Amino acid sequence: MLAKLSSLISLGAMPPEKAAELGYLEHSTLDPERVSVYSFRPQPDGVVVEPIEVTREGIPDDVFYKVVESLYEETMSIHYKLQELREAT
Amino acid sequence: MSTVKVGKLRVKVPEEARVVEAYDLDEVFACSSQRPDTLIILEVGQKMLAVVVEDTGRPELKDLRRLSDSIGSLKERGLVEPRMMVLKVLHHTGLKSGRSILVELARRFRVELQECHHTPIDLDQILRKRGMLLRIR
Repeated sequence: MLAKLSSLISLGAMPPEKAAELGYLEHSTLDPERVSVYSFRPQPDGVVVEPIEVTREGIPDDVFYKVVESLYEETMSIHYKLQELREAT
Repeated sequence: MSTVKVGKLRVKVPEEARVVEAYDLDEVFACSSQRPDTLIILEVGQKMLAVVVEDTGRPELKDLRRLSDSIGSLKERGLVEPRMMVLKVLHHTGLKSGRSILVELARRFRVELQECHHTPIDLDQILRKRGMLLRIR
């Protein structure tokens, strides 16, 4: 979903006719100037909220990398555990 | 740790593992271009691991798909047996941007990513990271 939002921001940075060439109408894109993104980082004593710069390239990929990587590690651990269990039965 | 050469690839194998078989899949699948590079069968303790490796430059969706799609063919040929644990490894030279998407795709295809430049595929690092050398003894 976040990747899609990022794409719509990039499309919004284009002249409408260029976005239309890719099959997107003007009302289905997002204006980078009107989008705000914040990173919420949990800390022991609360949450640190940091603004993320949105550019015509969209939302920086590294903002979500930690979340995606954590999910990846979790999925892989479960995947191998399931294989082990399958073998044991 | 030892290093084995399979086809054009060099692969680091942990001391705890014994290489049972190693296949250059370019030879096994001579008629098909849709195959990964290497299959290595490892014995670790009483467990058998089938490690399929694809070595590429800039990683693409087709590399992940090829790795996943190959498992069925390898099982049909009897090279990967049902009792084996399967690891799919994509060894690549990295991306300038789009890492999140790559990791998300690797999650979807259950593929291990290893980013290296001109170094052997390091199964020691992957198996150790996943706790398999301890767990499957």
